[in-house]
Amino acid sequence: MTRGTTKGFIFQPTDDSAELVGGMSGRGRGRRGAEGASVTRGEPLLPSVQQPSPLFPAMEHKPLPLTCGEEAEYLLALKQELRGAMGARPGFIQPHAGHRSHADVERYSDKYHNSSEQTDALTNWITDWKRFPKEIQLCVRRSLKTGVSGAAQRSKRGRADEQKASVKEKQVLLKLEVSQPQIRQHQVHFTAVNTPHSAFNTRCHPQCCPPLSSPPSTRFARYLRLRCRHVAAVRHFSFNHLPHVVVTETLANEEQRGSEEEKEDNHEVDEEYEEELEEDTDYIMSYFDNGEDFGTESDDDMDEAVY
Amino acid sequence: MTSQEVRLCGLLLREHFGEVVEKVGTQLLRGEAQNLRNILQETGVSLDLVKKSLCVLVQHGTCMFSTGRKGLGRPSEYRASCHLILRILRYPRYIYTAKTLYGDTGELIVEEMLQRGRVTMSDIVKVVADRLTQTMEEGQSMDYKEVSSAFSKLVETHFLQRCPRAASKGAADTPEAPVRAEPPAPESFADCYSVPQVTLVGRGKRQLEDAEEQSVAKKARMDSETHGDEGIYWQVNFERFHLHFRDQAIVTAVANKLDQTGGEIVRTMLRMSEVTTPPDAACTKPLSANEIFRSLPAAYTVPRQVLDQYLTLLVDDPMEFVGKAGESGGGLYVVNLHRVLSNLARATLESVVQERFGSRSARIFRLLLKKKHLEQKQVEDFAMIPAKEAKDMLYTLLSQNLVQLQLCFLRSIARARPGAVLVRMLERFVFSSGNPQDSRLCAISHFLSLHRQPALNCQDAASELLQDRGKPHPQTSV
Repeated sequence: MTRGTTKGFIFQPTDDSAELVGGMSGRGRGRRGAEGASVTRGEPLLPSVQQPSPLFPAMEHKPLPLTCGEEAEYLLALKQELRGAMGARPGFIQPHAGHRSHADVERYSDKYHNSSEQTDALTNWITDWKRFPKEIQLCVRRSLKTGVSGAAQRSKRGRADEQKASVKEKQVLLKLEVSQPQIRQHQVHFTAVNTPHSAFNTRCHPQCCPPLSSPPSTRFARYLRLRCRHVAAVRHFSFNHLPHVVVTETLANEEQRGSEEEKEDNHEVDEEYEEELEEDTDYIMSYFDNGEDFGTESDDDMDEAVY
Repeated sequence: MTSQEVRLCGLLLREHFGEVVEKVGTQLLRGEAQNLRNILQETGVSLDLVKKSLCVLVQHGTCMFSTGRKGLGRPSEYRASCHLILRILRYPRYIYTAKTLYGDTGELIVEEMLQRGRVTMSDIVKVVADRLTQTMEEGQSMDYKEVSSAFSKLVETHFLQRCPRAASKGAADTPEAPVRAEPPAPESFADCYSVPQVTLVGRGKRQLEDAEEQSVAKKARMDSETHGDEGIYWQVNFERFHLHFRDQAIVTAVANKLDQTGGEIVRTMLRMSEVTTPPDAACTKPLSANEIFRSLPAAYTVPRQVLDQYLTLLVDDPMEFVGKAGESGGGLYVVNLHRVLSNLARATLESVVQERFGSRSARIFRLLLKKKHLEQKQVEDFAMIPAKEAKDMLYTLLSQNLVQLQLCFLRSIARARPGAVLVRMLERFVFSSGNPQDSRLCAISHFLSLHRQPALNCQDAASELLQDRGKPHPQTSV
């Protein structure tokens, strides 16, 4: 098999072997010297080679020009506008770290700062939650009107737990109703201690909490532990409570809240603090301010002198 | 779905929705229906971000979900498909079409709906009225009624449609509801295109200063007005836009081949059969020449004889725009939709080959399209090109993956002839060609799939054939 017409160049374009022009030459480059072709190292180059070969081979057929015209330009402008507009919509999901300028270290306050605005914007935009499967529904509104079910917090937990929880909850409700008078007393005690918008922040002595009337079944105990873990982890409070006691309190509070729906002051309290309260926490957002924004605002526009 | 398609979809998602949605979307595209846990594991994105991305994807109609198939207790499964995401490429065209048909109001309606996915009529009317008010002069504002009428017009011509009612809600609901794998099509609902009675009185608002705007927005949230159309959501009917593009392509082709009047005649025919023709029909319902004559637009009225001449020309044209279906009523004519589209696709391919490789290569290509399988010698004879050049051009086309070599053992001869070589078209050319129209793209794949035949590839036979040229082995892997 002959090698075809080798032109004796030393500098060859390093293209794929399928390239027509330099078909065999690229492969045979290493062996050119051994074949006894014209030039060896050190000698002056052939007169025809004065500069490196061009980057791209010459084209036989030039391509047609791009479509121009009013319509094409308008379409292009529309496309660019659309891309920019979509970037500003709530549908443009930012990753957690990118939300802040300091993406180097994971910060405790990230948990409370990051998801809030985005979730808000999303829930403002998407309103027909019925068309979505339950498991991806975001916290719809922080409405504590449906006190006992606590649908907002449930959505994070998944279906299996939810079913168990709903069944077990009915049992708990029954138990609570039975022991209603007892709890009401302690409710009074609780509100004296608590501030208005930290209703879950109960700090009471183990003595005043009534133990459960009957020992819970194992499944129920697991549910309580789950619930308690959720509650405790989020609250970051270190109590020496027995798990079931904490749950009883929170359930009692929720149930109470549910029955006091009609009261106007509850609503007002909810709505007033809506912007400052975040899910899973009872502190207003300035509590989580980690002080890193201090001094980052530019002082260029200040009219007054700084002393 | 090829890997390039998936990559393109990922880039589109990133441009429009961010990197998180890109990750989730590419994961959905890669496999079959997946449930939430699967997605979490594969992508490694945190749970709340995954949920948000899924919400965004479902809202825009690019992701479908269905309840688990294996029983009531299974979690829902999600899947996406490429063609739903590739529609995003055509958003500017949809907006431009609405502009040409219904003016600025229509344009803004479609634009806002594309940005939001699904939206109620009252929301969109308010948003569009506000936007139009921004562009108007001081003191003027756009009335809601005008925007509502533009919206109704869009719905009447089926460019917008109602979202189908929510699919079966979940395992907890009535167990006797059948578990369906596919979401119901929007057209299956009776009042898909009926505009609800909406009480919308008011005018567009101008954007206030920042501080004021926030308090106003807050107040608006507090007192939620009901306009009588809660729960009725609208979406853009993409299929209708595609049909419109198809009609446009046919009319421009006719206008280029004959003249403007011919284009108008075909446009009239298409407009008359808009409502009676199903979307995937091969040709329109037959129309008599008398009807066409009566329905021609005033600007293009021609004498009856001239119309007949035009129709005869169209019927005789090799592109087969119009076919004759009978003689009653002055002649019954149909527009051959599928045939026109495949001929347009073929013409596009031929022009691409001509621009890239020259007119003689284009001649060989056209020959192969017509005859499907040819031997080397036959190519030289039919194309009337000298042997050496024919071989050269064939090899160029082969190296660009436009034609393919195939070995065939002829049974009539006692010994197998390894030198016999068959040449045929490759389907993958579709994705390497430059800038075809979208309706043509579908027609191309449809057209080419008709010619596909299973075959064996053999490298040795091809290499023997090409050895005297000193070229490396051709690519024979598909």
